Parts: sequence; structure tokens; C-alpha cells
Amino acid sequence: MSEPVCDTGASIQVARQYTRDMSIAALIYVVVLVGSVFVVRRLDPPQWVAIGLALASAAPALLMMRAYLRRLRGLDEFQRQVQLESMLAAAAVIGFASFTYGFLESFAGFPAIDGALLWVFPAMCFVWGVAQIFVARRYE
Amino acid sequence: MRNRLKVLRAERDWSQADLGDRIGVSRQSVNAIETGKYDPSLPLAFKIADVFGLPIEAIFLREEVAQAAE
Repeated sequence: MSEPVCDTGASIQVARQYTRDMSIAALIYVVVLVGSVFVVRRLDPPQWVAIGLALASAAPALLMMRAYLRRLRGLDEFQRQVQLESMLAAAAVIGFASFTYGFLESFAGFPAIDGALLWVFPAMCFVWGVAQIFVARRYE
Repeated sequence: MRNRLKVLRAERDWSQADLGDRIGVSRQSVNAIETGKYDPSLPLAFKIADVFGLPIEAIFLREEVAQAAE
């Protein structure tokens, strides 16, 4: 296992690597998404092409997860605990919200939200980011 | 668990960041340990003991022991 890093040159390097990896993943995501939307809406491609474009649009999220894992490995044990608690909070909030809305949809006739599944991953990332602030504050 | 990190740091005139550099963790982590909000793992506790040149039990005290001593 690699040694954790602190607020030193090594950690700055890890943070820079993370920023670079995330920026590249985000750039690829935007380019692929814009291209995919254009092809799907304007050119009416066959289904196998549409499936390929859908998978290609989701793929940059894997690069983002890889960047995050690399960053996580560079954190010390306390920082990892903060990350773990924040991720659990995000999983709990988004998991519970989608689970509850699923029941409301099935039992109470609430409208199905078009493209709702697309928002699960971004919403989890958002809640995870916000949760970090509160979790870190608990330890101050 | 209680600890004497703040006193030991002050004796050596080290900031939290200085101690963090020495034991390979962030300043925030040192702060969380120092305030008793986070208990370090055994390997990290040994590292802390090493940089201060003291046994672990001279730095970290169980709550019951600390209360009994007061």
C-alpha cells in the first residue's frame, strides 16, 4: 500500500494529477455528449449506433471514478474516513430518495420523471461534495 | 481517548502542519486527532510516538484513566 501524503509536495502532486485527470474526463464527456446528442437528434441513426453513443456518453464517468480512486489512495486515514462518511451520506440520500419516489410512482400515481436515471450519478456526486463540508466540520 | 499532542507540540514549537509533515498526514488530520474527534490507527499512533520519542501510553490516554487522574 502506498504511503499516505500530507500537505507537502507529494500531496500537491497528487492533487494536480487529480485535477488534470478530472479535467480530461470532463472534456471528453462534453465532446462525446455534444457529438452524441447531435447525431441522435439530427441524423436519426440506427439503434446499434444509438446504443454505442449512449455507452460512449457514459464512459467518461468511468474515467472520473478512476481519477477519484487515484486521489483516494493518496489521502491519509482520517481524510479517507471523511470521504467514506460523505459517500455513505450521498448513497443514503440519493438511494432513499429514488427508492421512495419509486414507491410513490407505483402506489400513488406520481408522474414518472423523464430521464430520471441520468440524474442519479450527478446527484450523488453533488450530495457527496456537499456532505464532505459537513462531515469535515464534525471533526473540527 | 485523550491525548497530549497539543502540549508536546508546543514544547517543540511545532505547528500542526509541522507534525503532519513528520508523520505523513494532513494538518486537518492532526487537528482531528489533537481535539480527540478522531482516534488514529495503531500504526499512526506508533508514528506519532516515534516522532516525539515517547511510548504511546505517554501520549494517548484512555478516557477512564484520564478522568481518574483528574
